[in-house]
Amino acid sequence: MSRNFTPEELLTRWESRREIQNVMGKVSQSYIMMEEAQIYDRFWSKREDVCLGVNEGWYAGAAAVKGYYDSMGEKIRLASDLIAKAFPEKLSGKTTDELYGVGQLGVKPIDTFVIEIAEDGETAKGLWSLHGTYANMTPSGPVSNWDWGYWCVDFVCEDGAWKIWHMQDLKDIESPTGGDWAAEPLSFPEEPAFAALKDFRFPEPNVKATLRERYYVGRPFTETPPLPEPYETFADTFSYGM
Amino acid sequence: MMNQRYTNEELVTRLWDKEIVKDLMARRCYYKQNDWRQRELDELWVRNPENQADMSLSNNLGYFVGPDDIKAYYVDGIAEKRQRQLELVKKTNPAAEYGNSVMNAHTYHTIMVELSGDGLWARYLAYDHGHQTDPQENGTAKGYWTSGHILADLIKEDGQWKILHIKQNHDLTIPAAPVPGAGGGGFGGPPPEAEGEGAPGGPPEGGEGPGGPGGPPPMPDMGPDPYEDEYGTPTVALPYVVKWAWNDLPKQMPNTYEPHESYDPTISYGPAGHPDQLRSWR
Amino acid sequence: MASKLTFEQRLHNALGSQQCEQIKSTHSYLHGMMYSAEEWDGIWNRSKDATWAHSFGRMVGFDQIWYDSVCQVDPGAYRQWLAAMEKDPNVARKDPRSMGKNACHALSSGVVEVAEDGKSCRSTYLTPGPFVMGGENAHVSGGRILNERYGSDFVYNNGRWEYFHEQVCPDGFMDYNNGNWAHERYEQCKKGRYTQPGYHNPPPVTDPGPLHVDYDTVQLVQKTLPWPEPYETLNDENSFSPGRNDPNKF
Repeated sequence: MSRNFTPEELLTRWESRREIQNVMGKVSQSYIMMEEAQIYDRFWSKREDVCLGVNEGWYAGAAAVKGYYDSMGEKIRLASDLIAKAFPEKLSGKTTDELYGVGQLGVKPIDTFVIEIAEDGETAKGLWSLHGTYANMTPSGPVSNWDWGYWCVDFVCEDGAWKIWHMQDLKDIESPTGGDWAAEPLSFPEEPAFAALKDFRFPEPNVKATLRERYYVGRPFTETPPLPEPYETFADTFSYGM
Repeated sequence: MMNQRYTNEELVTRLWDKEIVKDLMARRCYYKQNDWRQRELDELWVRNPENQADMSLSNNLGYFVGPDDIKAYYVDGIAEKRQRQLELVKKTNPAAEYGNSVMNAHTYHTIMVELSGDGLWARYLAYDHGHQTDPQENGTAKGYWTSGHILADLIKEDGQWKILHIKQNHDLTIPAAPVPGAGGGGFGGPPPEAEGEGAPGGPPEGGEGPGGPGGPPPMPDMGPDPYEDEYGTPTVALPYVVKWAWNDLPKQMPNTYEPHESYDPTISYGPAGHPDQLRSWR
Repeated sequence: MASKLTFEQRLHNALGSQQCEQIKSTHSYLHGMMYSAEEWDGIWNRSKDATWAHSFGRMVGFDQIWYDSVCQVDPGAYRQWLAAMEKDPNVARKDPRSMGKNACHALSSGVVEVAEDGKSCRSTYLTPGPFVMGGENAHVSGGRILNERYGSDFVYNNGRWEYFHEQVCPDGFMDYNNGNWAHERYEQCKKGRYTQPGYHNPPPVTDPGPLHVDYDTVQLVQKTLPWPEPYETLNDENSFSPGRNDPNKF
């Protein structure tokens, strides 16, 4: 920090740092409770210029970001319905709400965080490592994937609360567990009970761009996303947004 | 309610010192992934020549002491390894450049920080769960899981926190690909000679009562750990013996409540604090 | 919420939050070294309301936790140590508990909240699960991934922060490199072999489980450990062990 802060300011900045960790901890824990569909409403800024980057491009604007998380909920609902139909002896009689998320689990631990809060206290930036695994619902039924990569986030302080402004959710490894990510991924035969998932599509990023390539043999050396550095105000630093 | 020794202003400084240490070590983790090793030494480690004479970086074989030996192992060593890997890759991909097909990741979490009473020394412990991918001879590559624990001494140099010592105790390397008969096992020690010993229901799982979720996976002898390629010849050959796992960690953990008052080399994470110099585990 | 508090109260809570993170990590390493006695002796509250829960149920009161976690666990370590020493005399100077096992329940994704009254702290974490296991106590032989979630309550008692409640929720124990945990469960479910709730050979507990069940294709979503939100004081609405919130009940 280049500026000298008073003890009161330093304490406020520490509280911000803890709150930012809590926000991202809650985003991470949302996946294990199958509450992905609520991430936008709970944790994102309601600004129009929000954006979410994935390896293949950007969901730019509030509607696109919300649509991305909504589609996660739609897929969970569809897969829940298919699992319920596949195992009626265990699941018949359950309500739609009870069944939501059955057989699905997202373990997305994040840590190794570097967090910088602007000297003006209005924005903040953080980089996290993600190292997890999740049950992917596929036309072959549930298939667990490794999920390793980075979460890079710009935050904005709105009405005294830290909200996600820009985020990149970038994968290095997203391949089936039980196999080497540097080899041909494991494959499983299609299951008629899950055929409806063949037609399911997440919305495409509305701005196509290659933000990061997943690992493949022959991939050029790929550094981590840039680390936050101390900054005075957001205009003085780089953006994790578009 | 407050600690009587320190003023509120000093307590806020101590609060932030611990966060700065965590951030600095997280940066180190990313620098290492990026092969920014010289930059790491330049930006994150001690710069005062007197402190540099004591700086050390250890692996499972021992300690590299001083800037020259650390550079030879840590900076030049990785450059040589990358060159060897590039030569392999170029056999099937002549246009390949530095680091082609290479990937490595480390993560630092489960963090403890003990800040000394005088506020000038921090003892740091974190667990590192990571992976690495190495190109192979025939245009392929192999992935490995890696895990270990990181111990570090940091000191305040001209008001800035800097790394003085790092111990990288590597616990395990496990191939990402299935190994027939391995049952989840990995490199790092000889195979168990008998199964099913110990408490009924498998080995005790610590505080989770007798038995535990799953017993030890059987494992064939898989030969040397590929991670050992990077070990080099340390300045001081005092090893971390994987076979004995965390035998020495009880003596090395940062304190939870009462910190040490000031820097003490005999309990540091440099060679002077190496636990084997103590005669018994007690 | 913090704005209602004085600077000194806010500072107390910030230091408490940081100290509870330290205590939580201390637990992970002591557990990884099988230093159960040092854990319960060193960082835990000793009241009748201290609780420790797992899928098999909830241990209630310090005495039960101690018996289940120290008396029931240490003998296995010492038996393994003796067996290992028969084969390798070098074992003689090694620590019987920590020398061959590091079941480090690593901590990620932490959410930590200190109560407005400064007398308690609550946290939830996930573990990324690296778990290195000894085949015998003398030989590290392999590792697995243990996916779990943790809910913890801490109390500020007699001038220091203490661990008060812990609830462990395992979601699955899997190999690093063999098998696909989600698809294998699916294949088993197709054969009518479902994940069974409970735990083999559970220790005696006051509140029997199951309190949480491993992943299965037919497992409904479990929200066993909701993350803590800002709160005023430890009470039944803000506790991982409702009804047991008095750290001085002896």
